[in-house]
Formats: sequence, C-alpha cells, structure tokens
Amino acid sequence: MVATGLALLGAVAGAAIGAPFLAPVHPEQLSLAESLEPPGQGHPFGTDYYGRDVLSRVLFGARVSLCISLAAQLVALIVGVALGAVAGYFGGWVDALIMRSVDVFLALPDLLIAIGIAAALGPGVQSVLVALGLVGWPGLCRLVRGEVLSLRERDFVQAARAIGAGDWWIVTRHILPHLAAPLLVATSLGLGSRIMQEASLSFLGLGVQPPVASWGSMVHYGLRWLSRAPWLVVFPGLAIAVAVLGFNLLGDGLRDILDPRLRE
Amino acid sequence: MALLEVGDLRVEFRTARGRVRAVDGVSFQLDRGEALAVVGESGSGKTALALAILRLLPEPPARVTGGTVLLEGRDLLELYPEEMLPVRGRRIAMVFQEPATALNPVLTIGEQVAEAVRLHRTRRAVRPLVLEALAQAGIPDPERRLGQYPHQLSGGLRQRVVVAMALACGPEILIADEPTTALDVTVQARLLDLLTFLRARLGLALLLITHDLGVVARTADRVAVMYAGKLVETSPVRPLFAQPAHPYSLGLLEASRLATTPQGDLATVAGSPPDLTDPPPGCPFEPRCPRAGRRCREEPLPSLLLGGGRAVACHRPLVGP
Repeated sequence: MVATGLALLGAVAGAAIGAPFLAPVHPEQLSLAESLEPPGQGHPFGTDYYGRDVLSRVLFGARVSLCISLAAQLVALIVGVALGAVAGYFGGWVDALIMRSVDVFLALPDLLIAIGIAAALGPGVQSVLVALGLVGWPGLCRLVRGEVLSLRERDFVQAARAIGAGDWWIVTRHILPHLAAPLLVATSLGLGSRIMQEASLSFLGLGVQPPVASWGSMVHYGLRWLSRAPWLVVFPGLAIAVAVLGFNLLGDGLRDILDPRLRE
Repeated sequence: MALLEVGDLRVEFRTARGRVRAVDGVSFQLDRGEALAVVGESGSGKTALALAILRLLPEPPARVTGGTVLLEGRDLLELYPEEMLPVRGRRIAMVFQEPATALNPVLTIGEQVAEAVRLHRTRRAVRPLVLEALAQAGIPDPERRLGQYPHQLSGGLRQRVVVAMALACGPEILIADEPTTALDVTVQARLLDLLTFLRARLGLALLLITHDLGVVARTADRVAVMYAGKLVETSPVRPLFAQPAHPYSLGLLEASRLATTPQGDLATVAGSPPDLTDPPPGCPFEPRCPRAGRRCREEPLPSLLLGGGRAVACHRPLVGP
C-alpha cells in the first residue's frame, strides 16, 4: 500500500518538478489554429479552446496544486499542533475555549467554510491557503490534544518536571516528539483532502486565476466544452484522482506500519 | 538551621466522595547529609508528602491547604511557580518508583542525563558531566550506554540512570520514592548500597520513602512512621527497631519480621486504614489498635517527646516519656 502510494506520488511529484522539461510546449502558449484538437500526435492530451496543450497544462498544474496543498497543510499543522498542545497540556478554560472552537469548525461542512473564507477574502492563492489552513486545523488540533492529554500524565513527564524542566521544555522535548507517527499519518491523509479541496475551490472559480492553471481550474474552464472536448476535463480530473489516491494509500499504509495496535 | 524543615504540612485531595486528607499536619526536619526514611503502608500519604515538598502535586485535585516547607529557611510553598524550577533538581532531586516509565522511551540515556545537566549547570561541554553522573550512579561502561535507549537496559540499570539524572543536577537533597520496589531483591540491595555511598561521598541528604522496613534498617539514620496522613512516630533507626513506641510501629515490625502469632499465623496488622474523607476525631489507628481505650477514640492525638530524638503521637505509647 505504501509502495503504491509512493509510486503514484512519485509520478505526481516528478511531473511537478520536471514540468519545464517534460512539457512539449509552454502551458500558456496560444495557438488558435489548433483549437480543441483531440488527443493524438503532437498533443497527447489534446488542446483547449485557445489551442493550449493540455498535457503541458496538467504538468504545470501539478506544481500549483501540490504547492498550494502542501502550504495549506503546513498552515493547518502549525495552527493545529500549537493549539492542540496548549489545550491538552494546560487544560482548564483554555482547553474549553479551544476545543469549543474546534467543535464549531467540525460541525460545519469543510467546503462551506472554505468557500465562505475564500469568497470573503476574494479569489486568489492567498485566500485559498487561508481557507484550506482553517479547514485543516481542527482535526489535527483534536488529535494532538488527545495525545498530549495522555502523554502529560506519563511518569517521564513527571520525572522531567522533578529535575526542574519548565512547561516549554517538557512540551517540546518530551511530548511533541511522541506525536511524530500520528502526525505523519494525519498529514498524508490530510494532503489528499487538501488536493481535493483546492480543486473544489478552483472549480468554483474561487482559487487560482487565469492564466495560471491548477487542476481544479482546468476542470472549471473545460466544463463548458464538455460535450465537444471531454479531454479538457478528463485529464486534469485523472490527475486529481491519482494524487488523492496516492496520499490516501500512503496515509493508510503508514498507519498500518506505525500504529502497533493495528499490527498482527 | 535544618536543611529542610517541613512544618504542619497539610494536603487534601478533592474526590467525588469528599475531601481526602492525604497529608494531615506532618512536621519533620532533614539535616545535611542525613538519611530520613518515611515508612507506611500504601495510601498513608507518603508519596503525596514527597510531591508536596517539590510542589509536583497535580492541582486539582490535590491542594496544599497549610503548613510550610522551609529549604534553608525559605518557604517553598510561597514561591512563584517559575521560582520552583531552579529548586527542582538543583536543590532537591527526586527518584521515582518505576524506572521503566520514568525514562522517556524516545530519548537516549545520554540525552536524558544531558537534559539534567543543561537545565541546571552548563549548556556547553555537557558530555563529561554526563559521563561523570553515570559513573557516579555505578553504571559500568558509561560511554557505551550514552547512545542506548531505555528499553535496551535492565530494570536495575534503568533505575541507576534515573539516579544519574538526579545526580547530574548536583542536588543537596535526594527524595527517593520507593526506589527499590520495582527491582528484584539482589538489585535492590545494590541500589541501596549506591544511595548510602552517594550520601557519604557527596554529602547528599536522603529522604527515603518506602514501605519496606528492611530498606529502612539498611539505609536510614532516622525513621518517620506515617499512618493515615499523620506521622505517628519519629525516631532514630536503632531505638525504633529495638523498642517501638507506637503500637502501629510494633505492628509493622512484627509483620516485616515474619513473626507469628501464638496460633502459628503470620503476624499482620488487622483491619484496614480509616476512610480519610471522614477521619475519626481521635487516633486514626484506634480501630485497629490492640491497646486502644476510650481516650484514644475521643481525644485528638498528643505529640509526646520521648528523649533521644524520639517523638510519638499516641495516648498509650509502648515506651513512656
């Protein structure tokens, strides 16, 4: 499972990194003479209305989609881990405040929050980052808080306190390192969701703006030609599917390996 | 002035059934280089007492409701939480009962001992001090142990690492909470010898918490017997073993000597400790005490000085003043 996931993600990452070398032509190069050509010689994935090469755009779209997803997950991780650790470690009203906000976020559908935030901030890369970061943190926060809650009662934490370690030292040296495994799994699975959500926002026109293309926005612009030129939607859609499948397989596989309770 | 002087210390735990007085007016002194053992059965408040001194009690549910903990005349209970950090480890270090869980499984031995050095002594040239602490704790071939993880060590070695962590801070007082309970008998004896050796070598004062009178006889100068949150007898070790003054001390001694009753049964202290949410008005040991009388049931415990540094809290002690 991990191997398949890694292979799929390797292909996606390879496409993103190698896009300038792999792409037959520049993704934004117009060629009106070749408008809406079906896949075939010269254009393996066909062309769009303006004659742009779909393969090139999918390859470069991988960069945009992956970068946005990774950055959004990083935002979610920083916020989620920090707030989760604070809530779990200190408890009391701080915990109550943070966890009730988490409940509010988790009670609303992810996409609704993301759409609301992206719409409020106006379309663009920054608002997608903020929106996806805010969608991602509550789950991580709850995960981290639960782990911290049990870790802080462990004897070695008490022992560290007894040699004069302060709260910051205990949390960073003794508690957070224990979270590496669950966070690795959550991040891998989370990245799958982020790809999907980024595609959804871009599909709704709230994500990256033309002429830059992400997979979601390609589906968005391809939709109006769907009956005449389905390849405009099929190939970026496939790319989304491969990337999400890769992250999910990797995450599930890592969980099986890293969680001793699931081992036979 | 005594190095550590605990005066009328009181600790309560709030539980669903009411307030439990885990430590109820405990007073004692610990001098430089002295070894004091606190003995008592499970639930008598020994660990709560130790944690209260270092202010490590989980609050809530626990709360120190009164008393003083004077370290060279300065009351630790009055300090701000941040002011306790340089006291913990550097002045008073603690060794916990369970060496298997007192070490962090994801850090190497070297990293954990180095932590103690970094927190209190120096941030550079940590390694020599770490090796010194490991050697002092009697760990053979310390160089090799530095890079190992706790699960690669035996229980006895792990407890020595815990001791090394405490020593690496350079403390004046070492509180050892049942340090040998989790170890097998031969390893126990070696650890106790180590503690005795460290006392002599480094001038450490030792507060040894145990339920094992064998440990007391081997290691301590003085002993304080704790029952239901109160110190019922304090005494130098030899007189207590020769002639206990409190009936409970006698009971403990007989139980630990594997003495037998005239019927041939093993001697035990019959009954069980009182419910501390609703302690009896008189002596807490009265329901189990073979010598109990009417006064014991009704009047609060007196504190009698017996001479020779002995004190007993009993209406009808076995040794007269």
